[in-house]
Amino acid sequence: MLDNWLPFLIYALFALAIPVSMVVMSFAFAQRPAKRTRTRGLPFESGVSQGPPKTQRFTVSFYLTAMLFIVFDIEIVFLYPLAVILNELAWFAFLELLFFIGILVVAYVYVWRKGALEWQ
Amino acid sequence: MIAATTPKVDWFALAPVLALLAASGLALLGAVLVPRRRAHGVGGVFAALGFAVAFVLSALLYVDSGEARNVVAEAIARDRFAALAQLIVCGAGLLAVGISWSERPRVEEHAGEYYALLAAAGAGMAFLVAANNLMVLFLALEWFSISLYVLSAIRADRVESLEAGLKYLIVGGFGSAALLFGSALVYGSTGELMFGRIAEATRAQGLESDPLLLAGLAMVITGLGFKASAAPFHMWTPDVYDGAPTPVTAFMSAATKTVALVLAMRVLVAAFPQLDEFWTLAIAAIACISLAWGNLAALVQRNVKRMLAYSSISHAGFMLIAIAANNELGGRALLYYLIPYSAMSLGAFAVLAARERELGRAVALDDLGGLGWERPLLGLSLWVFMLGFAGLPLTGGFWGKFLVFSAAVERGWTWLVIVGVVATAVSLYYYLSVVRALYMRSDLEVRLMPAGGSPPREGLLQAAVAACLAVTVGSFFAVQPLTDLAEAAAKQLPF
Amino acid sequence: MRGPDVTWYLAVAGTLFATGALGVLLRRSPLIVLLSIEIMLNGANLALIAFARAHGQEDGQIFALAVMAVAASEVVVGLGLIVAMARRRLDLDVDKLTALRG
Repeated sequence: MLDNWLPFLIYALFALAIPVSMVVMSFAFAQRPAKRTRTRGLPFESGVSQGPPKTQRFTVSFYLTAMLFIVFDIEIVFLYPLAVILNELAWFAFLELLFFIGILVVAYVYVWRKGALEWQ
Repeated sequence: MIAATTPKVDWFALAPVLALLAASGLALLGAVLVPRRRAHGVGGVFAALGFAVAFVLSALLYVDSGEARNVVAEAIARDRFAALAQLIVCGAGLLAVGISWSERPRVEEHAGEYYALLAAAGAGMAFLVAANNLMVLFLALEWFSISLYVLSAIRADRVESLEAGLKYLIVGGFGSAALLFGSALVYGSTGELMFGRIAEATRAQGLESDPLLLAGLAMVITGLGFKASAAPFHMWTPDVYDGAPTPVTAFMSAATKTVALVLAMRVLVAAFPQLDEFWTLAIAAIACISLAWGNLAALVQRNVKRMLAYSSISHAGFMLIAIAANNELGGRALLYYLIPYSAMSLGAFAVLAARERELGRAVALDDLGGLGWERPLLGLSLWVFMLGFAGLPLTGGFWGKFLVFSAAVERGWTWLVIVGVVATAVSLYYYLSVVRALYMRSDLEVRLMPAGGSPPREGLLQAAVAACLAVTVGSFFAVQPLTDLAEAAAKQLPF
Repeated sequence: MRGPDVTWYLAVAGTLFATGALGVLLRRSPLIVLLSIEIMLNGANLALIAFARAHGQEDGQIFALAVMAVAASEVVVGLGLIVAMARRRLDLDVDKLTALRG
């Protein structure tokens, strides 16, 4: 019984430890300004302040990088099913992997040479 | 533990797709690795080579596939039906490269990307016609669709082009989502994705009236209807055909229609033979609506590109009749019809592209005035293409309609033939009005003169138009060998 | 009975799909329309995964993974077009995209 639940227990402990340590450390190490400023009174979420002023605009570089990230990031899902059967398929899997990555490399070279990765 | 076996990959069956994929990758690399002024040439040559090699490979595949079989874990159908459709796609792609070549000054900035996307779209289409399960179907469909969304919008300096791309994406995405949900329902009902096994499971488990399967089939038909631009799923067609760069429109009108209809026939015949009562009626209804709507809307168009868009909707109607017939004659009719139709469509849009460049704006019916005298080859060709669309003899369009009607008669659906004949009669009016405009001398000629003396030399475009003309007329005289090819291909579907 | 059977999942999937379809048909901002198409695809994905589980196969799950990648590509192309339009300060309202009309 315990054998089945042990991994889950360890996982739960980690899940608990991370936020707890974050809270504790923020008390222990943070340098707080002596008096209450306006910034301190703002609601806090994941280190992101309440949101940009309405007039602020993101640069096009931001959208471009974000979109490139989405595309290249999602390609990883194709590697998960392959990872599950990597041993059974042996060399076939490896060659398929290279073929797949090769296509991605073509796209990457294009993006890179096109200068889309430079932040302006 | 998952038991995995290494699938045997039949590389020859995939060769046309891989050739086009390689061409696409090379053109894309060419776009960034060679000096910009040579990017157009490099991209164009790679795309043309890709389509030419894929054409040859498809021909070899056709010859070699006397026996139809399923390869690559049964995901790909290796048969003449797919090979013949690939031949049409690759031929259309090659001609599209020729037509695009003259667009050089306009696409200079994105020339490499343009040809890379053209080859990628061709690869996706070649993949789609060989699809043998619902997953490959969806992936291939999206593969070429996404390429075409970008191609439609590639002239980002024009509002119309961007708008066409976005509209195509939204409507196309909607259609794909419907197709996907339909596929999920079919999978849920039968537990299979492979076409042949869906049919087996339907028979074995007696699912003929399973509501889940019926709903799934209906949604699959809807999704394919969007791609084939059949009414009532056609609303994107005129806008996208009008707004996209004309060479792209030429390629889309020929190749997209080919693969969507060929695939529709394969999936319906191979996966849903037990439900034929339902889908033949549905397809026949869609065919009638397309014929009626396409022809009536074409009557009132002044913009020639939009008129041809509606005409393409009505032609989708004709070809859907061949699918609705659900017999071997229908398969033969569809494959034959696609050959002259693709040529006429490519050719007509190529002539429009040339005229558009002269005028610097969209071509209205009156703008064609005098084209027949100024540029005899283009004028004569457009004349023949219009007669071919109308289905008059001496063009392949005649035999195409004839074969479609004979398939419908064998099925016992004479009423469909009557609808088709009435539609043809109506279509004569707008096709002939183009012919009339061509040879009318108008004051436009005079207005054009200051713009520049002799018409530009567009060698490749003229050659492409001449090739389309040759196919249009040639398919009338070579009807026997072509129908033999189509028949051998249609025999391999399980009618 | 260990939990809700596949019908319940199908109901949720169908609701998601219908929500997305309504969004495409009714909303006018191209961003929201793209979002709605994603919701439709996710509805289909949920159905695929539920059915794969019900049939005890992997096919549907792999299909769903592939769909995710395709959906991302589609939405990125859509966003690219929208950014291109926004840079040209075009009106981002699909009902006002009327340069093409006939």
